[in-house]
Amino acid sequence: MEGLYPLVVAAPVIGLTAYCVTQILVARSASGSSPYRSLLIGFGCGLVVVVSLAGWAVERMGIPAGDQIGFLVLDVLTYLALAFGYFNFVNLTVASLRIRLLEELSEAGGRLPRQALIGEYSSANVVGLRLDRLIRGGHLVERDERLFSGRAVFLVVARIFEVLRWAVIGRQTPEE
Amino acid sequence: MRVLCIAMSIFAAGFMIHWIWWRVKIPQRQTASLLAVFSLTLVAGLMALSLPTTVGEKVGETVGETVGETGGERDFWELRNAWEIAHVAGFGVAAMLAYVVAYSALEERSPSMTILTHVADSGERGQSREGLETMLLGVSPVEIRLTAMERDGMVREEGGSLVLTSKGWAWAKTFSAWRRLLRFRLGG
Repeated sequence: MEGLYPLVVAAPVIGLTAYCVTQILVARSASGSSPYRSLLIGFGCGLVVVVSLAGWAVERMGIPAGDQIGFLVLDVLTYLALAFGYFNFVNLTVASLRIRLLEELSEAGGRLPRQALIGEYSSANVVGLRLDRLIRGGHLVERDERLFSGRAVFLVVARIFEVLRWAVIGRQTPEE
Repeated sequence: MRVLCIAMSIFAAGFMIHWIWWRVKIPQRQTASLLAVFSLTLVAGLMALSLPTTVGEKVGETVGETVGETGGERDFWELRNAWEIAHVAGFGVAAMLAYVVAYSALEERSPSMTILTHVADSGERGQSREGLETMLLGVSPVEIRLTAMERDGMVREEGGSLVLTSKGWAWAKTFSAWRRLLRFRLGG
């Protein structure tokens, strides 16, 4: 049953396809709700497809249990990496200031005065938009006109990135 | 487990090369350098570990015995067919792209992450909206991103105005089309 190996190799890409299709369908059918809900549902569907497909195939390949687990783990890791890429692609349309500026320029016919863009997106606007989004998502809590930490998920991610930045980049700047 | 170990080892080797390079000097074109490091490590790893099945057998008979290498050890670190190579390559490419995406967050601190850590560091005192605005005034997120867009060739400045380049148009159209497909509001 070595003939099932191509299916094991393709499983993460099939899972990613399931993720994208499900996410698009959920987002379109429930427009207005949080964009992260559709991403979470899509991710779950893709993961189920990968584990089911790869699990079914490796079981019938007649290979030792250690290799079966190895193939399954490699497929799940590959899917997680692909899913992370897709999540970030969609998240750019939701949260990226750079993509917002590009879209503003595009809708203005491709040209805008620099000062107009800077004026429209002042620090106060940028901060206000983000604070509202973080409060809506429960990541920040507002009490007596002061903000406190809420759900820890994003904060944990932020801390991990701080450690990674320190480990990889340190205090250096790019060479000239 | 053999294929998993090979895939993880090749990625780890690429990461080590990148880490050592970055500790010595951070290159100017960071994303391009990252892609080059991980792609070349992947190609070199795949070539080195798939060669023993074709030429290594002949060499192994003479060299392997003299250096005391056992057949089992030699067999473990080799890719035996095209599907094993494709399996390792699939993981390598996916992990490389995921790392490049994650690295962009290391390169430029996002305003949301800055707000979250600043509020968390304030503990029981919390933060006022005005305090956070003042803190980010120094960061000037729009200026930083416009400069990065100019550096990346997405926009160019002409007489005080910013003009989209063909690369900028392509990015704007791609994200705009996807956002409309998902029926999301304008982000940022």
